[in-house]
Amino acid sequence: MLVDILLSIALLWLSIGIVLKDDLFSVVVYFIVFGMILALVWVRLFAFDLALAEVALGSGITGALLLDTIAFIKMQKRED
Amino acid sequence: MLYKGVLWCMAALFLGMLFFMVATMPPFSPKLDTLVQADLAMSGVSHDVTAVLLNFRALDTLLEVGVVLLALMGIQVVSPHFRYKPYTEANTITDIYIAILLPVIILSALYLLLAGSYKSGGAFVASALLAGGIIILKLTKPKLFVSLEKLHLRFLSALGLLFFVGIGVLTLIEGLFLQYPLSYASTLILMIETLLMFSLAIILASFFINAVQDLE
Repeated sequence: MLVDILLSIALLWLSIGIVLKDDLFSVVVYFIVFGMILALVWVRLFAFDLALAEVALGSGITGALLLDTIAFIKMQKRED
Repeated sequence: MLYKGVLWCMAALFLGMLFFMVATMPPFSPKLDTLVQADLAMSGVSHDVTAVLLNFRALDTLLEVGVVLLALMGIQVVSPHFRYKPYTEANTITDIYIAILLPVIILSALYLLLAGSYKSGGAFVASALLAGGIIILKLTKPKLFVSLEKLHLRFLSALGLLFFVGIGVLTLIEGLFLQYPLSYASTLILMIETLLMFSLAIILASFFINAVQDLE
């Protein structure tokens, strides 16, 4: 029970951080961590397949794509 | 400042609505679950999620794979404009890292694929793991990907869906679309899942690889 409450508080805090942070890089890091905590929530709900998919797709591939987008934006700024 | 205030207000409102909905939720009644459990013996697999995904609602899964393939086509049509110089120098850390990690990833993907018929797992999760492995390989050993033919990759990424539709057309001979005969059900599901795993892994990895083209 305590674990569930801690997990939900962490999710809320991370989602507020995702929306309100100014620095793009920290937003992406918050997003990746959000995906991992969400995977733990799925495990707590006994949905192991969803948890694995969340980690691999939600955090892993989406995170890699977002980090790449940041690199692209930085490169464009340097060229301007 | 006003923008952030509005954002906070919306977040608070949304949170309140969420709490209200959770508080007034009707008690959980596993009506669908009992239906699934009743017909589980007819599905060819012994795990309820896999039975729903690949037998009872196989059409939904087929369309889902189609959507993922369409998304890949959309990405391939928009030519990537982000080109960077791939990192090609020998690096002991990444070399050892992928030498340890890749076999584990491939083994766990195969395990998840086979485990799908009797517990949590299945083609989608396995393909997500494999796609992650391919992306790691792309980032650490970009030279391996130079000789790959675009056409072969396109064919491979469509193979799972093609096979799925082919099985569907074959089942039309005896019954409804994607209604497997009982004696072949588990074999057919495993074959479909294996091909779907490879295709989906290539599609998901291509999402990343197509977005970041190498500098020639």
